[in-house]
Amino acid sequence: MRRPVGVLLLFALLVALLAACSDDDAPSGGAGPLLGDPGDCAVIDIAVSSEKIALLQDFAADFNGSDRAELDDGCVFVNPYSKSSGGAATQLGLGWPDEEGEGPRPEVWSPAASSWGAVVNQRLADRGEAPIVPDSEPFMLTPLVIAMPKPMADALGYPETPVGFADILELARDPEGWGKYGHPEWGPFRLGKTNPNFSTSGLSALIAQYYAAVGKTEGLSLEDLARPDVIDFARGIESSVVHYGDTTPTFLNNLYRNDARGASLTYVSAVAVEEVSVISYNAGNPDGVLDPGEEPRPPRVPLVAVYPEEGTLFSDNPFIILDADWVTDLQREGAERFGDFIQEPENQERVLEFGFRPGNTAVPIADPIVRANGVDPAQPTRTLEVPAPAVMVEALARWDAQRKPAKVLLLVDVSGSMGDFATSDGQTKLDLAKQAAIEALDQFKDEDEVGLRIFSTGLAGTEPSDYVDLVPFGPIGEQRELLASRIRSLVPTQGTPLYTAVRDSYRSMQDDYAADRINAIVLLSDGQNEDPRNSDLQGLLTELGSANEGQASRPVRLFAIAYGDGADTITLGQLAEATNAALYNASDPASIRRVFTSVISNF
Amino acid sequence: MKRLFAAVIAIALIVGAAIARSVLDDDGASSAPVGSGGDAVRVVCADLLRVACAGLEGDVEVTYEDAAVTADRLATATDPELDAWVAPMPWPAMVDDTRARAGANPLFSEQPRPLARTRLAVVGPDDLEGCGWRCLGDRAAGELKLGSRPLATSGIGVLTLAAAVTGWFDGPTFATNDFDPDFERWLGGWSRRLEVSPDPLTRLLQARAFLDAAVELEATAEATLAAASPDRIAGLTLLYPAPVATVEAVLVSTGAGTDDLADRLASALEAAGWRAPDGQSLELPSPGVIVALRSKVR
Repeated sequence: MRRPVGVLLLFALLVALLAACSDDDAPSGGAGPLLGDPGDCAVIDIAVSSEKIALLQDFAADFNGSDRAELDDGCVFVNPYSKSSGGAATQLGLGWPDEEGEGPRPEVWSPAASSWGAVVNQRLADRGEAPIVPDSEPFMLTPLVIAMPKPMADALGYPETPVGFADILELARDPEGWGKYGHPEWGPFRLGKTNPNFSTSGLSALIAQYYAAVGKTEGLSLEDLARPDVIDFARGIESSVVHYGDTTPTFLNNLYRNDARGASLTYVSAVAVEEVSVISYNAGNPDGVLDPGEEPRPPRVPLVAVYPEEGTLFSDNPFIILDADWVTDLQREGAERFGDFIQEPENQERVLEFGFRPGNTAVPIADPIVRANGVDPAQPTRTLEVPAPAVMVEALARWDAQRKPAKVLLLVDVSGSMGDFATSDGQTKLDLAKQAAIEALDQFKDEDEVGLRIFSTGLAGTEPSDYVDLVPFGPIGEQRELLASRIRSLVPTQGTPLYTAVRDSYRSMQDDYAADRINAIVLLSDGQNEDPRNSDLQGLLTELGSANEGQASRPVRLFAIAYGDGADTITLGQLAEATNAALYNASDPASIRRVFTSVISNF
Repeated sequence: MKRLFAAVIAIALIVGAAIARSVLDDDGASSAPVGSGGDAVRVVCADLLRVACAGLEGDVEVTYEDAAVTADRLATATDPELDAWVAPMPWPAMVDDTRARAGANPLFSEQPRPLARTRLAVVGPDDLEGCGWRCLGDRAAGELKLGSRPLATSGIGVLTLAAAVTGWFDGPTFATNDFDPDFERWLGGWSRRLEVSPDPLTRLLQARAFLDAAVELEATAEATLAAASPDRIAGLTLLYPAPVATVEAVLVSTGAGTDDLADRLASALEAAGWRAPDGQSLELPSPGVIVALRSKVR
């Protein structure tokens, strides 16, 4: 029998490759005290994939304190908190041993896709333990799509002309780029997709891509993956990738910023995202989260959801009450009440308002899932079968080899403040950063070229005195140990010549630009510019921005890590955004390991 | 003013009556049926008949599980740990057939009490009209994405399997020695490609990309389609592939205290769209043949 076509049944083996992954397609938040005091009510912790946390917290706010939360044996208080599907699957498979670091052990789990449940049960079975994830109904769905700026979709003739991954490959490989479609001004075809080791969208896209390569919708085999034409196809697609990353909002936020400047067509031509993201973007809320004071403002150039001709996969968002011994009868009954509550038609209408397709079929698929918003309720017409476990493992292994190689400069602030204590056992911020950076080196593939530069005022005796190249660029496969050794020996020194270090590093990356690689700087800084010789931020931003535009652009992305509570988050964010990259917040030094993992997922 | 006073009195009387009724009901619960073990009657109810058993909760101890799960347990059990089983035919007969082959005593010495009937239906596009079970098997072996519960491990799945094979043999009077290579190819062709889901009809209505058609009990399908929004059911029809298969819910007992349950179960099923049993043949293969078919697709 065919396996159910859902989303990505065999993440098990994928997840086994990841010790801690961020997953899903919106930034992870924390539990947060958003829902108030539970009082004497029994708390039901609900681990929720990040893209729907706002919706579930809305539901919880209505449910808590209502009659529905009053049971014969007491009241219940539901507490949804954001937890990536992969991270929760990992923890549940281990019995959730680290509540302090990973959040409260949940009684209910709602991952992005129901297939994550099979992952947990498989892991438990491997350890001789009983399954804890029962079959559960999805309460909302959203398919994977290829989001394209409308003029680009129009140029391809979509929707009259079906578009699939095969068409994208053709474009990606064509030296004419968009010139083939009469738009040389748009430059080469640029694809945005997330890292399949981290993101549900990324893994869905990888599967869809392989199916497109072999011309099937089911039965992807190991032999298929080894075909020379399939390998060629995969390399072709990867070659057009702008950068990877752990979440799709990185792409959508960058696109939105470019759109505001009238330059959305030069950053990325297509992004593999969930349909709901297209709706949010077109509504003027590219990451699906409205920050305080933020108003949704529709972009100048909307996105169109292209439903791949070859078929696609769904995220089906189940509501799973765990069959675990830590779930009390009261919690189970309360969870059932809450599960029924979110399936009620009026709440399913709210699901729809958020851009998801309601799981309750009594509720129509209606506005905002309408053509005017760039999506098509009648699509997709095909789904793809989840490959067998061995095929999934092989696909991921091959992706690691086939993905676009990177050239990355690690630019590390070693100013005096990095010597501040960060933990109660006497570790400094620099100590923690060094450990995280060394561990992150394993995420690079051997042919990635990585260099290490440190910066602080008066670091070298000769000019340039504010930075020193400790390890020159070279394939990391040949110098991983050297890099680790140099990082290990870093010590905090003096001030922070941030602008000079960034400017000169950026210029040197431009000078030695590698067209067949993702070119990037990973900047780690805990402070703000302290160099009176160079305080020209605006000039720096202009320089960074101008080099990323135009057909002959040489885009170098600057991914910034704002480390510790003294980091100049605003400036670092501006620097990152000027290069169409992203800022990563590690204001809590304890989070630096997770943040480094997220940053390196871009390559 | 008088009118208002009268209304208040009326409401007070109604509330008083409701309280009195509640007290009487509570008293009634204390005289709940007692099973053969001296405790509350234990009823195991097939998942697909949940709508029938929900009304028994509180009066008896009700456990829900798939008929296939119960059957597998009862096939080898020395103590069935139940007083009554509410299940579709021919599951009880299959249990006793399996036990007999293993040299065990039958569990259900009394005849099953028929409760209600419904048909096995398919919800699918209009162009499936006139396509019988054999035709459906042919189509499902190709491009048609037919959704079903698991054929070997679910109550409805096994009935679907029996119905489809009855279609291949053009009637229920066949035996396992009629399984020739043509049949094996046909069975393997569609059963391997079936889209398995715990709720195929809902899945079909959630997204047509998942499925083209889904097997469901007629009563359940009618209720689901009636509740669905019009856009979800556009272009879909409720079909009864030939030969039309009938599902009969029955109550079988292994102990005492279950006499008054049948009427309540039958009423609940009728309210849920099932029909009264009419004594007609179910046109299903023999229990032994169904057991054999089940192991073939396991």
